[in-house]
Amino acid sequence: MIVEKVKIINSLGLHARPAAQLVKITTRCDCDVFITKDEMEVNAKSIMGVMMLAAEVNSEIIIKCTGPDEHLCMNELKELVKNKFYEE
Amino acid sequence: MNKKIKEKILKGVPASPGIAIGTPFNYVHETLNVSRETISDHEIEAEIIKYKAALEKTKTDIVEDKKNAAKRGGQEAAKIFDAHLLIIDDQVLIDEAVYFISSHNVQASYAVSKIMKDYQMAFEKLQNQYFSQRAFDIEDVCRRIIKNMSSELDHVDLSTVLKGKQIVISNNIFPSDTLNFNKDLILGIVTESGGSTSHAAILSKSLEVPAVVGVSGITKYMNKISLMIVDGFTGKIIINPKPSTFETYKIRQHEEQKQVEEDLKYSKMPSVTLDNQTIKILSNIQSTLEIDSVIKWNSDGVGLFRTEFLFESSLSILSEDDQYRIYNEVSEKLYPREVTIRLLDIGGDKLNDKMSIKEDNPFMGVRGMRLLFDHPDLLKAHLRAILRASARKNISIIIPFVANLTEITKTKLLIERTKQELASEGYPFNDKIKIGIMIEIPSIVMIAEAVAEKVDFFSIGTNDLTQYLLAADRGNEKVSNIYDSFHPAVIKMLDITIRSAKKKHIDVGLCGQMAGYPIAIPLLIGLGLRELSVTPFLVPVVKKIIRRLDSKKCRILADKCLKVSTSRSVSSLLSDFFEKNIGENPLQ
Repeated sequence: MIVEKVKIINSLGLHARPAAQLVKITTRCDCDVFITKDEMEVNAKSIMGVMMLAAEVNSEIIIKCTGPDEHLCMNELKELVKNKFYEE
Repeated sequence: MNKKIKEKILKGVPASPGIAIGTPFNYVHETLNVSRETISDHEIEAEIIKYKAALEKTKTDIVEDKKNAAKRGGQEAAKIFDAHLLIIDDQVLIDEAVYFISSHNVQASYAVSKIMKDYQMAFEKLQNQYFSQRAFDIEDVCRRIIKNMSSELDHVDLSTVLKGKQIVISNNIFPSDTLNFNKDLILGIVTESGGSTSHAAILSKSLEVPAVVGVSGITKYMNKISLMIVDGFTGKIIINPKPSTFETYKIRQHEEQKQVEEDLKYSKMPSVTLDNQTIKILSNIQSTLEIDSVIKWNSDGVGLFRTEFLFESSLSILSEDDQYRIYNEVSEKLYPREVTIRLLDIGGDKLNDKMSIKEDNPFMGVRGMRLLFDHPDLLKAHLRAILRASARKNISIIIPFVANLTEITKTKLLIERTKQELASEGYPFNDKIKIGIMIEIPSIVMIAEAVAEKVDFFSIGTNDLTQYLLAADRGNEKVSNIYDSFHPAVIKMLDITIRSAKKKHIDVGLCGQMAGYPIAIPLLIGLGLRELSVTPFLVPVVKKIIRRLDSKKCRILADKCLKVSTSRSVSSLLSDFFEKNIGENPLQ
């Protein structure tokens, strides 16, 4: 299991479209992914779950990947967040 | 059973003008209360198959609705269904339901409603309004899945259940209800929740039926109403009117209908004064749903396309491509008419939770360009989308809320850079796109000549100009006696702005509420304005007045107004002139 903390930097936070992008990656990966923010933990393979975090700009989320391709998955997710979900 | 009550007046937010008188139709969405039924182990598999089939069916329905919405209401409406597709594809939600069915031995509809309620509750608790409103989307999707699993057909088809034309009363109108509504079927719309930018408000405006939203308590009276009046001008709902009230409204409604017929006649005539001055009458719009009205009332184009609403109503922040499709649709459908797009002016009263910050004095805080400069990525996508849609050369840009020259040069520089970027990527666009500014902060009026050298046109927003000039919040009832667009200082501001524009040979128009105020029109023409922008349905009203005016007489009136020192004197000059030259007030 690997755990990393990342900061949301796109100005609008994890709204519908970024959440959909994130879920696209997690559902493809062969590992369990959970995201925690302010004591709320959600399954990152669910768009509703991810949106329920209501992660706004500058908020920090903790990503937890467990499974065969956990490293690959984590890298892709970090890349996505770093690149502002490729939408700005 | 239900005792009829005496006349009662409820107040809501006026959403679409007009008067409707009729009987109510109950379109209240009942609370989903699926009872729990236990199923045996060997029925589980069949139940899961039924659930998955309902998912597929619902997905097809949503795709179909999306197509119809795109055809009917434009790209914006279709976007709502995109988000619904994301929800229905949520694998975790699907698995959760399957697990719940098999582990608790319950029927699928109960499992879906239980999960829906859990999510709804979690979402409703969220502080951020954008996220908390998603509860509403989950409910819409889950209702559809449950309906698709039940054997009885409980989908209300309005065309079969209405008793003639009726007034539709609902707690809320869901996006999936939209296609059920038709102007030929309903008299008006009243909803318990929602504000002036709710889905119900926009829908009724596009259908051109009277509507009042946010009428708290209306659904409670549902069974006690035998007749009702919807006043879409004031937001009043009158339940079981007294004979005298009924008569008053009947007369008003009749006059209004006569007015509409006459307006339509006027809309075909040219907009010229008695001394042959052509006046452009443009429209203020905020949604692609209003394009048809612009065409129907024969407006010369769009003088102000407010982009805030697109962002407020959308389920997610619009991407560059989403925006491009919307602007392109407006440009294409209205071509060769001109379309002036105002850059996103969020802040002030249009607080958008998606990106605004809490401020003590938002009207004087981070709004308009101030906010956009803080969100360079958003601004870039916005500019790219507008420029990409400009290839037909009928689009121009207004920069909102500017207080100084730096903001103008900075925005122009960003537009230039965006052009270079698009050129290098091979996108077609109008290299000579016109760029204007909103005249709404007094400081910019005082340096109007210098500013006029930097821009292609001015667009005067009288509502904000008045509030900033008189330091009176236009939404604050306690200072509504101070807030007055006929204050001589406001008239002087208009005069300086118009003179500066003429001196520097740039266009100047007015898109504030003042342009739709009949007695003010002679003054505006007298001050030298030749472009007015109003709500689409007011276009023929303005035209009717213009056709009875002599611009030279208007000039004399304007000069008189510029010499007096109280708004009372201005008002009486305008009223006298109106009575003498136009006669009756066309709005009465």
